[in-house]
Amino acid sequence: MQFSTPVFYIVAALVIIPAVLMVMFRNLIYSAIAMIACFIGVAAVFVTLNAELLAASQLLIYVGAISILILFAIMLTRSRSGAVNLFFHRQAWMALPAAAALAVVLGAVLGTARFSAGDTPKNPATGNLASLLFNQYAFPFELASLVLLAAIIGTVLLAKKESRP
Amino acid sequence: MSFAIHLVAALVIALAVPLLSALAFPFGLRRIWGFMGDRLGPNRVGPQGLFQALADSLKLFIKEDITPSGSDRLLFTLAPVIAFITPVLAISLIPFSKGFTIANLNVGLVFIVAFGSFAVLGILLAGWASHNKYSLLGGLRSVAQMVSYEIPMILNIIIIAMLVGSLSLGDVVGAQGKIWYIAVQPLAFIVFIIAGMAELNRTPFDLPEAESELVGGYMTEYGGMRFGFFYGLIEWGNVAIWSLTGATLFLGGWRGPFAGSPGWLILKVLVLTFVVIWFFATFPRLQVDQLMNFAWKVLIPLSLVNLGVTGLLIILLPDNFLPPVAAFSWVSVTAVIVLFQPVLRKALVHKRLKLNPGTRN
Repeated sequence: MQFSTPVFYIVAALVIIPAVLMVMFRNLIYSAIAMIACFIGVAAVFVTLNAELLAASQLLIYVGAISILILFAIMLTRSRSGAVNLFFHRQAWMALPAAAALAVVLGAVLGTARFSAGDTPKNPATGNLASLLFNQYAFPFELASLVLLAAIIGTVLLAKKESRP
Repeated sequence: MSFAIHLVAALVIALAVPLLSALAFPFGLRRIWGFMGDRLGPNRVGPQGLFQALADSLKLFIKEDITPSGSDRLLFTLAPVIAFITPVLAISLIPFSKGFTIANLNVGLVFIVAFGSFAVLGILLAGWASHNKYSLLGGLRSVAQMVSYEIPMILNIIIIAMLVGSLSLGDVVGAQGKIWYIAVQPLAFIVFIIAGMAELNRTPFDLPEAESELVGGYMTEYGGMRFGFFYGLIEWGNVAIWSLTGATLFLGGWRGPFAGSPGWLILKVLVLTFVVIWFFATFPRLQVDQLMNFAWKVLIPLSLVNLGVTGLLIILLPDNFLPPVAAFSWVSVTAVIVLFQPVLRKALVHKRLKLNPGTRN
Protein backbone atom coordinates (compact mmCIF):
# COMPACT_ATOMS: atom_id res chain seq x y z
CA MET A 1 0.00 0.00 0.00
CA GLN A 2 1.27 3.46 -0.84
CA PHE A 3 0.57 6.29 1.56
CA SER A 4 0.39 9.88 0.47
CA THR A 5 1.95 12.94 2.08
CA PRO A 6 -1.27 14.12 3.84
CA VAL A 7 -1.52 10.75 5.54
CA PHE A 8 2.04 11.16 6.75
CA TYR A 9 1.24 14.59 8.21
CA ILE A 10 -1.84 13.26 9.99
CA VAL A 11 0.18 10.39 11.47
CA ALA A 12 2.98 12.77 12.44
CA ALA A 13 0.43 14.94 14.25
CA LEU A 14 -0.80 11.80 16.04
CA VAL A 15 2.70 11.32 17.39
CA ILE A 16 3.74 14.90 18.12
CA ILE A 17 0.57 16.37 19.67
CA PRO A 18 0.25 13.65 22.37
CA ALA A 19 3.99 13.88 23.00
CA VAL A 20 3.71 17.61 23.71
CA LEU A 21 0.54 17.08 25.78
CA MET A 22 2.32 14.43 27.83
CA VAL A 23 4.90 16.97 28.96
CA MET A 24 2.31 19.72 29.48
CA PHE A 25 -0.25 17.85 31.59
CA ARG A 26 0.05 18.35 35.33
CA ASN A 27 -1.95 15.22 36.12
CA LEU A 28 0.29 12.18 35.90
CA ILE A 29 -2.53 9.90 34.74
CA TYR A 30 -3.33 12.26 31.87
CA SER A 31 0.37 12.33 30.98
CA ALA A 32 0.43 8.56 30.88
CA ILE A 33 -2.63 8.48 28.62
CA ALA A 34 -1.08 11.04 26.30
CA MET A 35 2.00 8.82 26.19
CA ILE A 36 -0.19 5.86 25.19
CA ALA A 37 -1.71 7.96 22.41
CA CYS A 38 1.82 8.83 21.29
CA PHE A 39 2.77 5.12 21.22
CA ILE A 40 -0.30 4.36 19.11
CA GLY A 41 0.80 7.13 16.75
CA VAL A 42 4.22 5.50 16.44
CA ALA A 43 2.44 2.22 15.60
CA ALA A 44 0.59 4.13 12.87
CA VAL A 45 3.96 5.31 11.52
CA PHE A 46 5.06 1.67 11.29
CA VAL A 47 1.86 0.83 9.41
CA THR A 48 2.57 3.57 6.87
CA LEU A 49 5.99 1.95 6.39
CA ASN A 50 4.31 -1.42 5.73
CA ALA A 51 5.88 -2.85 8.88
CA GLU A 52 2.79 -4.50 10.37
CA LEU A 53 4.73 -6.78 12.69
CA LEU A 54 6.54 -3.83 14.22
CA ALA A 55 3.23 -1.99 14.60
CA ALA A 56 1.67 -4.96 16.38
CA SER A 57 4.72 -5.35 18.63
CA GLN A 58 4.61 -1.63 19.38
CA LEU A 59 0.97 -1.93 20.48
CA LEU A 60 1.58 -5.13 22.40
CA ILE A 61 4.70 -4.07 24.27
CA TYR A 62 4.36 -0.32 24.70
CA VAL A 63 0.58 0.06 25.02
CA GLY A 64 -0.22 -3.36 26.46
CA ALA A 65 2.68 -3.82 28.85
CA ILE A 66 4.80 -0.77 29.60
CA SER A 67 2.03 1.84 29.75
CA ILE A 68 -0.17 -0.44 31.81
CA LEU A 69 2.68 -0.95 34.28
CA ILE A 70 3.29 2.80 34.46
CA LEU A 71 -0.43 3.46 35.09
CA PHE A 72 -0.43 0.66 37.66
CA ALA A 73 2.51 2.20 39.49
CA ILE A 74 0.98 5.69 39.47
CA MET A 75 -2.34 4.41 40.78
CA LEU A 76 -0.72 2.38 43.53
CA THR A 77 1.58 5.13 44.75
CA ARG A 78 -0.37 8.37 44.33
CA SER A 79 -3.34 9.59 46.17
CA ARG A 80 -5.75 10.90 43.59
CA SER A 81 -7.35 13.45 45.86
CA GLY A 82 -4.03 14.81 47.08
CA ALA A 83 -2.39 17.90 45.63
CA VAL A 84 -0.60 17.36 42.36
CA ASN A 85 2.94 18.16 43.33
CA LEU A 86 5.50 17.88 40.63
CA PHE A 87 8.28 15.61 41.71
CA PHE A 88 10.94 17.26 39.59
CA HIS A 89 9.88 20.89 39.86
CA ARG A 90 13.01 21.95 41.74
CA GLN A 91 15.24 20.48 39.11
CA ALA A 92 13.61 22.48 36.32
CA TRP A 93 16.81 24.39 35.58
CA MET A 94 18.54 21.08 34.88
CA ALA A 95 16.17 20.57 31.99
CA LEU A 96 17.92 23.30 30.01
CA PRO A 97 21.35 21.58 29.65
CA ALA A 98 19.62 18.22 29.19
CA ALA A 99 17.46 19.58 26.39
CA ALA A 100 20.48 21.32 24.86
CA ALA A 101 22.47 18.07 24.93
CA LEU A 102 19.56 16.19 23.34
CA ALA A 103 19.28 18.88 20.65
CA VAL A 104 23.00 18.55 19.88
CA VAL A 105 22.81 14.75 19.62
CA LEU A 106 19.65 14.81 17.51
CA GLY A 107 21.11 17.55 15.33
CA ALA A 108 24.27 15.54 14.77
CA VAL A 109 22.29 12.42 13.87
CA LEU A 110 19.80 14.21 11.62
CA GLY A 111 22.61 16.17 9.97
CA THR A 112 24.45 13.04 8.89
CA ALA A 113 21.41 10.88 8.15
CA ARG A 114 20.50 10.34 4.53
CA PHE A 115 16.76 10.21 3.93
CA SER A 116 15.76 8.39 0.80
CA ALA A 117 12.73 10.25 -0.44
CA GLY A 118 9.97 8.76 -2.50
CA ASP A 119 11.16 5.18 -2.83
CA THR A 120 8.86 2.26 -2.10
CA PRO A 121 8.57 1.32 1.55
CA LYS A 122 10.43 -1.80 2.52
CA ASN A 123 8.33 -4.75 3.46
CA PRO A 124 10.19 -6.49 6.26
CA ALA A 125 8.96 -10.07 6.10
CA THR A 126 8.48 -11.70 9.48
CA GLY A 127 10.94 -14.49 8.61
CA ASN A 128 13.68 -12.04 7.66
CA LEU A 129 13.21 -10.13 10.89
CA ALA A 130 13.35 -13.36 12.88
CA SER A 131 16.55 -14.59 11.25
CA LEU A 132 18.17 -11.18 11.80
CA LEU A 133 17.11 -11.12 15.44
CA PHE A 134 18.09 -14.69 16.28
CA ASN A 135 21.22 -15.09 14.13
CA GLN A 136 23.00 -11.84 13.48
CA TYR A 137 21.81 -10.01 16.57
CA ALA A 138 21.41 -12.97 18.88
CA PHE A 139 23.98 -11.68 21.38
CA PRO A 140 22.43 -8.22 21.96
CA PHE A 141 19.03 -9.91 22.12
CA GLU A 142 20.20 -12.27 24.85
CA LEU A 143 21.95 -9.40 26.61
CA ALA A 144 18.68 -7.46 26.72
CA SER A 145 16.90 -10.45 28.20
CA LEU A 146 19.68 -10.75 30.81
CA VAL A 147 19.10 -7.13 31.82
CA LEU A 148 15.35 -7.80 32.09
CA LEU A 149 16.01 -10.91 34.17
CA ALA A 150 18.23 -8.94 36.53
CA ALA A 151 15.48 -6.32 36.88
CA ILE A 152 12.88 -9.00 37.67
CA ILE A 153 15.11 -10.63 40.29
CA GLY A 154 15.78 -7.22 41.82
CA THR A 155 12.07 -6.47 42.06
CA VAL A 156 11.30 -9.80 43.66
CA LEU A 157 14.10 -9.24 46.16
CA LEU A 158 12.82 -5.77 47.05
CA ALA A 159 9.27 -7.00 47.45
CA LYS A 160 10.40 -9.94 49.62
CA LYS A 161 12.37 -7.74 51.99
CA GLU A 162 9.41 -5.55 52.72
CA SER A 163 7.14 -8.43 53.65
CA ARG A 164 9.59 -9.91 56.17
CA PRO A 165 8.83 -9.08 59.80
CA MET B 1 -16.07 3.26 -4.41
CA SER B 2 -15.33 -0.34 -3.59
CA PHE B 3 -13.25 0.95 -0.69
CA ALA B 4 -16.27 2.81 0.70
CA ILE B 5 -18.45 -0.32 0.38
CA HIS B 6 -15.72 -2.34 2.07
CA LEU B 7 -15.52 0.21 4.89
CA VAL B 8 -19.26 0.28 5.49
CA ALA B 9 -19.48 -3.53 5.46
CA ALA B 10 -16.53 -3.72 7.87
CA LEU B 11 -18.13 -1.23 10.26
CA VAL B 12 -21.47 -3.04 10.15
CA ILE B 13 -19.85 -6.43 10.91
CA ALA B 14 -17.52 -5.01 13.57
CA LEU B 15 -20.41 -3.37 15.41
CA ALA B 16 -22.97 -6.12 14.85
CA VAL B 17 -20.90 -8.88 16.45
CA PRO B 18 -20.55 -7.25 19.91
CA LEU B 19 -24.14 -5.96 19.71
CA LEU B 20 -25.62 -9.34 18.83
CA SER B 21 -23.48 -11.12 21.41
CA ALA B 22 -24.54 -8.57 24.05
CA LEU B 23 -28.16 -9.36 23.23
CA ALA B 24 -27.92 -13.10 22.75
CA PHE B 25 -25.30 -14.31 25.24
CA PRO B 26 -26.71 -12.90 28.52
CA PHE B 27 -30.10 -14.33 27.57
CA GLY B 28 -28.53 -17.69 26.77
CA LEU B 29 -26.56 -17.49 30.00
CA ARG B 30 -29.68 -16.97 32.09
CA ARG B 31 -31.66 -19.68 30.35
CA ILE B 32 -28.78 -22.18 30.59
CA TRP B 33 -28.22 -21.25 34.22
CA GLY B 34 -31.89 -21.74 34.79
CA PHE B 35 -31.72 -25.18 33.17
CA MET B 36 -28.62 -26.17 35.15
CA GLY B 37 -30.14 -24.91 38.40
CA ASP B 38 -33.47 -26.60 37.67
CA ARG B 39 -35.21 -23.25 37.33
CA LEU B 40 -37.04 -21.61 34.47
CA GLY B 41 -34.98 -18.51 33.80
CA PRO B 42 -36.48 -15.49 32.02
CA ASN B 43 -39.35 -16.78 29.85
CA ARG B 44 -42.01 -14.08 30.01
CA VAL B 45 -40.99 -11.39 27.49
CA GLY B 46 -41.73 -12.71 24.02
CA PRO B 47 -41.67 -16.36 22.94
CA GLN B 48 -39.52 -18.31 25.43
CA GLY B 49 -38.35 -14.97 26.83
CA LEU B 50 -36.42 -14.14 23.66
CA PHE B 51 -36.99 -10.39 23.99
CA GLN B 52 -35.74 -10.25 27.58
CA ALA B 53 -32.41 -8.75 26.50
CA LEU B 54 -34.19 -6.02 24.53
CA ALA B 55 -36.37 -5.21 27.52
CA ASP B 56 -33.29 -5.04 29.73
CA SER B 57 -31.50 -2.73 27.32
CA LEU B 58 -34.55 -0.46 27.15
CA LYS B 59 -34.58 -0.29 30.93
CA LEU B 60 -30.89 0.60 31.01
CA PHE B 61 -31.42 3.26 28.35
CA ILE B 62 -34.15 5.13 30.23
CA LYS B 63 -32.26 5.12 33.53
CA GLU B 64 -30.63 8.32 34.72
CA ASP B 65 -27.06 8.79 33.56
CA ILE B 66 -25.03 9.47 36.69
CA THR B 67 -21.43 10.59 36.89
CA PRO B 68 -20.38 10.34 40.53
CA SER B 69 -19.07 13.54 42.12
CA GLY B 70 -15.32 13.48 42.61
CA SER B 71 -14.86 11.24 39.61
CA ASP B 72 -12.66 12.24 36.72
CA ARG B 73 -15.39 13.17 34.24
CA LEU B 74 -13.35 12.87 31.05
CA LEU B 75 -11.80 9.51 31.87
CA PHE B 76 -15.02 8.19 33.37
CA THR B 77 -16.68 8.76 29.99
CA LEU B 78 -13.68 7.69 27.94
CA ALA B 79 -12.92 4.40 29.73
CA PRO B 80 -15.82 2.33 28.28
CA VAL B 81 -15.00 3.69 24.82
CA ILE B 82 -11.36 2.60 25.14
CA ALA B 83 -12.41 -0.84 26.37
CA PHE B 84 -14.82 -1.16 23.44
CA ILE B 85 -11.91 -0.82 20.97
CA THR B 86 -10.87 -4.45 21.62
CA PRO B 87 -13.94 -6.31 20.32
CA VAL B 88 -14.47 -3.92 17.41
CA LEU B 89 -10.91 -3.99 16.11
CA ALA B 90 -10.23 -7.67 16.75
CA ILE B 91 -13.25 -8.77 14.71
CA SER B 92 -11.70 -7.19 11.63
CA LEU B 93 -8.93 -9.83 11.72
CA ILE B 94 -11.08 -12.98 11.93
CA PRO B 95 -11.51 -14.94 8.68
CA PHE B 96 -15.25 -15.60 8.34
CA SER B 97 -14.93 -17.81 5.28
CA LYS B 98 -12.53 -18.42 2.42
CA GLY B 99 -11.32 -15.00 1.32
CA PHE B 100 -13.75 -13.16 3.61
CA THR B 101 -11.68 -11.26 6.15
CA ILE B 102 -12.10 -7.56 6.79
CA ALA B 103 -8.35 -7.00 7.17
CA ASN B 104 -6.24 -9.92 6.01
CA LEU B 105 -2.93 -9.08 7.67
CA ASN B 106 0.06 -11.38 7.53
CA VAL B 107 0.58 -10.86 11.27
CA GLY B 108 -3.05 -11.11 12.37
CA LEU B 109 -2.25 -13.31 15.37
CA VAL B 110 0.03 -10.67 16.88
CA PHE B 111 -2.60 -7.99 16.31
CA ILE B 112 -5.33 -10.03 18.04
CA VAL B 113 -3.12 -10.23 21.13
CA ALA B 114 -2.17 -6.56 20.84
CA PHE B 115 -5.79 -5.36 20.64
CA GLY B 116 -6.55 -7.41 23.74
CA SER B 117 -4.39 -5.00 25.71
CA PHE B 118 -6.85 -2.16 25.14
CA ALA B 119 -9.41 -3.98 27.26
CA VAL B 120 -6.95 -3.89 30.17
CA LEU B 121 -6.43 -0.17 29.64
CA GLY B 122 -10.15 0.59 29.66
CA ILE B 123 -10.74 -1.41 32.85
CA LEU B 124 -7.80 0.24 34.62
CA LEU B 125 -8.99 3.73 33.68
CA ALA B 126 -12.59 2.94 34.62
CA GLY B 127 -11.47 1.79 38.05
CA TRP B 128 -9.34 4.86 38.59
CA ALA B 129 -11.72 7.47 37.22
CA SER B 130 -14.62 6.30 39.41
CA HIS B 131 -12.94 7.67 42.56
CA ASN B 132 -14.09 4.71 44.60
CA LYS B 133 -11.82 2.34 46.48
CA TYR B 134 -13.73 -0.74 45.32
CA SER B 135 -13.51 0.37 41.71
CA LEU B 136 -9.79 1.04 41.98
CA LEU B 137 -9.08 -2.26 43.72
CA GLY B 138 -11.22 -4.12 41.21
CA GLY B 139 -9.45 -2.43 38.31
CA LEU B 140 -5.98 -3.16 39.68
CA ARG B 141 -6.91 -6.75 40.45
CA SER B 142 -8.36 -7.24 37.02
CA VAL B 143 -5.23 -5.91 35.35
CA ALA B 144 -2.85 -8.00 37.44
CA GLN B 145 -4.88 -11.06 36.52
CA MET B 146 -5.17 -10.26 32.84
CA VAL B 147 -1.47 -9.47 32.48
CA SER B 148 -0.51 -12.72 34.25
CA TYR B 149 -2.77 -14.89 32.13
CA GLU B 150 -1.81 -13.14 28.92
CA ILE B 151 1.55 -14.95 29.11
CA PRO B 152 0.24 -18.55 28.88
CA MET B 153 -2.28 -17.31 26.30
CA ILE B 154 0.46 -15.89 24.08
CA LEU B 155 2.70 -18.94 24.59
CA ASN B 156 -0.08 -21.20 23.29
CA ILE B 157 -0.82 -18.91 20.37
CA ILE B 158 2.90 -19.17 19.54
CA ILE B 159 2.60 -22.97 19.55
CA ILE B 160 -0.17 -22.78 16.95
CA ALA B 161 1.85 -20.25 14.94
CA MET B 162 4.80 -22.69 14.95
CA LEU B 163 2.61 -25.57 13.75
CA VAL B 164 1.23 -23.41 10.93
CA GLY B 165 4.51 -21.69 10.14
CA SER B 166 2.71 -18.40 9.68
CA LEU B 167 1.21 -15.58 11.74
CA SER B 168 -1.72 -15.02 9.41
CA LEU B 169 -5.13 -16.15 10.63
CA GLY B 170 -6.09 -17.08 7.08
CA ASP B 171 -3.14 -19.50 6.96
CA VAL B 172 -4.11 -20.91 10.37
CA VAL B 173 -7.51 -21.92 9.00
CA GLY B 174 -5.95 -23.04 5.71
CA ALA B 175 -3.56 -25.38 7.55
CA GLN B 176 -6.44 -27.14 9.33
CA GLY B 177 -7.89 -28.72 6.18
CA LYS B 178 -7.06 -32.27 7.22
CA ILE B 179 -7.08 -32.12 10.99
CA TRP B 180 -8.12 -29.48 13.51
CA TYR B 181 -5.46 -28.30 15.93
CA ILE B 182 -7.57 -29.33 18.90
CA ALA B 183 -6.65 -32.92 17.93
CA VAL B 184 -2.97 -32.05 17.52
CA GLN B 185 -2.54 -29.84 20.57
CA PRO B 186 -5.19 -30.62 23.21
CA LEU B 187 -2.83 -29.36 25.91
CA ALA B 188 -2.57 -25.95 24.24
CA PHE B 189 -6.36 -25.90 23.82
CA ILE B 190 -6.98 -26.56 27.50
CA VAL B 191 -4.50 -23.89 28.59
CA PHE B 192 -6.09 -21.53 26.05
CA ILE B 193 -9.51 -22.12 27.63
CA ILE B 194 -8.26 -21.64 31.19
CA ALA B 195 -6.28 -18.53 30.34
CA GLY B 196 -9.24 -17.26 28.34
CA MET B 197 -11.54 -17.52 31.35
CA ALA B 198 -9.07 -15.38 33.30
CA GLU B 199 -8.64 -12.89 30.46
CA LEU B 200 -12.40 -12.50 30.20
CA ASN B 201 -12.83 -12.17 34.00
CA ARG B 202 -15.18 -15.15 33.97
CA THR B 203 -15.76 -17.68 36.71
CA PRO B 204 -13.70 -19.24 38.30
CA PHE B 205 -11.53 -16.17 37.73
CA ASP B 206 -14.13 -13.40 38.17
CA LEU B 207 -12.23 -11.83 41.08
CA PRO B 208 -12.44 -8.30 39.68
CA GLU B 209 -16.19 -8.44 40.27
CA ALA B 210 -16.18 -10.50 43.46
CA GLU B 211 -19.31 -8.92 44.85
CA SER B 212 -18.72 -10.07 48.41
CA GLU B 213 -15.39 -8.23 48.50
CA LEU B 214 -15.52 -5.50 45.90
CA VAL B 215 -19.22 -4.69 45.34
CA GLY B 216 -19.13 -4.50 41.54
CA GLY B 217 -15.39 -4.18 40.93
CA TYR B 218 -14.29 -1.64 38.37
CA MET B 219 -17.87 -0.99 37.20
CA THR B 220 -19.29 -0.21 40.66
CA GLU B 221 -19.93 3.45 39.86
CA TYR B 222 -21.22 2.87 36.36
CA GLY B 223 -24.97 2.97 36.05
CA GLY B 224 -27.63 3.02 33.37
CA MET B 225 -26.46 2.41 29.84
CA ARG B 226 -22.82 2.93 30.82
CA PHE B 227 -23.14 -0.18 32.94
CA GLY B 228 -24.89 -1.84 30.00
CA PHE B 229 -21.95 -0.82 27.84
CA PHE B 230 -19.45 -2.47 30.17
CA TYR B 231 -21.47 -5.51 31.10
CA GLY B 232 -23.08 -6.13 27.73
CA LEU B 233 -21.08 -4.84 24.81
CA ILE B 234 -17.57 -5.06 26.23
CA GLU B 235 -17.67 -8.18 28.41
CA TRP B 236 -19.75 -10.24 26.00
CA GLY B 237 -18.07 -8.71 22.97
CA ASN B 238 -14.79 -9.94 24.41
CA VAL B 239 -16.31 -13.36 24.97
CA ALA B 240 -17.31 -13.36 21.31
CA ILE B 241 -13.79 -12.37 20.26
CA TRP B 242 -12.21 -15.00 22.46
CA SER B 243 -14.56 -17.66 21.05
CA LEU B 244 -13.88 -16.51 17.49
CA THR B 245 -10.13 -16.70 18.12
CA GLY B 246 -10.40 -20.09 19.77
CA ALA B 247 -12.57 -21.45 16.96
CA THR B 248 -10.10 -20.14 14.39
CA LEU B 249 -6.99 -21.43 16.16
CA PHE B 250 -8.17 -24.82 17.37
CA LEU B 251 -11.48 -25.76 15.76
CA GLY B 252 -10.74 -25.14 12.10
CA GLY B 253 -12.39 -21.70 11.80
CA TRP B 254 -15.01 -21.64 9.05
CA ARG B 255 -14.15 -25.17 7.92
CA GLY B 256 -16.74 -27.88 8.33
CA PRO B 257 -18.45 -30.79 6.64
CA PHE B 258 -20.07 -30.19 3.20
CA ALA B 259 -18.84 -26.64 2.64
CA GLY B 260 -16.88 -24.12 4.62
CA SER B 261 -19.06 -21.19 5.56
CA PRO B 262 -19.45 -18.55 8.29
CA GLY B 263 -22.27 -20.72 9.64
CA TRP B 264 -19.78 -23.31 10.89
CA LEU B 265 -17.75 -20.57 12.55
CA ILE B 266 -20.86 -19.25 14.31
CA LEU B 267 -21.73 -22.77 15.47
CA LYS B 268 -18.22 -23.25 16.92
CA VAL B 269 -18.42 -19.84 18.61
CA LEU B 270 -21.72 -20.86 20.21
CA VAL B 271 -20.15 -24.10 21.44
CA LEU B 272 -17.20 -22.26 23.00
CA THR B 273 -19.50 -19.65 24.56
CA PHE B 274 -21.58 -22.47 25.99
CA VAL B 275 -18.38 -23.79 27.61
CA VAL B 276 -17.83 -20.35 29.19
CA ILE B 277 -21.39 -20.31 30.56
CA TRP B 278 -21.06 -23.91 31.72
CA PHE B 279 -17.89 -23.05 33.67
CA PHE B 280 -19.73 -20.07 35.09
CA ALA B 281 -22.44 -22.32 36.51
CA THR B 282 -20.02 -25.00 37.74
CA PHE B 283 -16.93 -23.62 39.45
CA PRO B 284 -16.61 -21.56 42.61
CA ARG B 285 -14.43 -18.49 42.57
CA LEU B 286 -10.70 -18.75 43.32
CA GLN B 287 -8.84 -16.49 45.70
CA VAL B 288 -6.21 -14.00 44.59
CA ASP B 289 -3.16 -15.97 45.69
CA GLN B 290 -4.56 -19.21 44.21
CA LEU B 291 -5.16 -17.37 40.97
CA MET B 292 -1.63 -16.01 40.73
CA ASN B 293 -0.02 -19.27 41.87
CA PHE B 294 -1.96 -21.20 39.26
CA ALA B 295 -0.83 -18.88 36.48
CA TRP B 296 2.83 -18.64 37.41
CA LYS B 297 3.51 -22.09 38.84
CA VAL B 298 1.28 -24.30 36.69
CA LEU B 299 0.14 -22.74 33.46
CA ILE B 300 3.31 -20.92 32.44
CA PRO B 301 5.72 -23.84 33.08
CA LEU B 302 3.29 -26.19 31.33
CA SER B 303 3.07 -23.88 28.33
CA LEU B 304 6.84 -23.41 28.22
CA VAL B 305 7.46 -27.18 28.23
CA ASN B 306 4.83 -27.63 25.53
CA LEU B 307 6.38 -24.84 23.49
CA GLY B 308 9.88 -26.27 23.84
CA VAL B 309 8.95 -29.84 22.96
CA THR B 310 6.75 -28.78 20.04
CA GLY B 311 9.53 -26.59 18.67
CA LEU B 312 12.07 -29.39 19.07
CA LEU B 313 9.83 -31.87 17.25
CA ILE B 314 9.25 -29.41 14.42
CA ILE B 315 13.01 -28.93 14.02
CA LEU B 316 13.82 -32.66 14.26
CA LEU B 317 11.05 -33.83 11.92
CA PRO B 318 10.38 -30.91 9.59
CA ASP B 319 8.45 -33.06 7.10
CA ASN B 320 6.02 -34.90 9.32
CA PHE B 321 5.84 -33.30 12.74
CA LEU B 322 2.09 -33.43 13.38
CA PRO B 323 1.87 -37.10 14.63
CA PRO B 324 4.70 -36.83 17.23
CA VAL B 325 3.44 -33.44 18.41
CA ALA B 326 -0.05 -34.87 18.78
CA ALA B 327 1.31 -37.91 20.62
CA PHE B 328 3.25 -35.72 23.03
CA SER B 329 0.35 -33.39 23.61
CA TRP B 330 -2.20 -36.16 24.20
CA VAL B 331 0.13 -37.98 26.61
CA SER B 332 0.88 -34.82 28.57
CA VAL B 333 -2.73 -33.68 28.68
CA THR B 334 -3.76 -37.08 30.03
CA ALA B 335 -0.94 -36.91 32.57
CA VAL B 336 -1.97 -33.42 33.68
CA ILE B 337 -5.61 -34.40 34.09
CA VAL B 338 -4.81 -37.66 35.91
CA LEU B 339 -2.16 -36.13 38.16
CA PHE B 340 -3.96 -32.86 38.80
CA GLN B 341 -6.01 -33.97 41.77
CA PRO B 342 -3.51 -36.19 43.67
CA VAL B 343 -0.30 -34.23 43.04
CA LEU B 344 -0.74 -30.71 41.81
CA ARG B 345 -3.84 -29.63 43.67
CA LYS B 346 -2.57 -31.11 46.91
CA ALA B 347 0.78 -29.35 46.56
CA LEU B 348 -0.91 -26.02 45.90
CA VAL B 349 -3.39 -26.38 48.75
CA HIS B 350 -0.70 -27.54 51.19
CA LYS B 351 1.57 -24.71 50.25
CA ARG B 352 -1.27 -22.31 50.74
CA LEU B 353 -2.38 -23.57 54.11
CA LYS B 354 1.26 -24.08 55.17
CA LEU B 355 0.52 -27.72 55.98
CA ASN B 356 3.16 -30.40 56.03
CA PRO B 357 3.08 -32.77 53.08
CA GLY B 358 1.19 -35.86 54.07
CA THR B 359 -1.40 -34.14 56.21
CA ARG B 360 -4.93 -34.63 55.06
CA ASN B 361 -6.79 -31.50 54.08
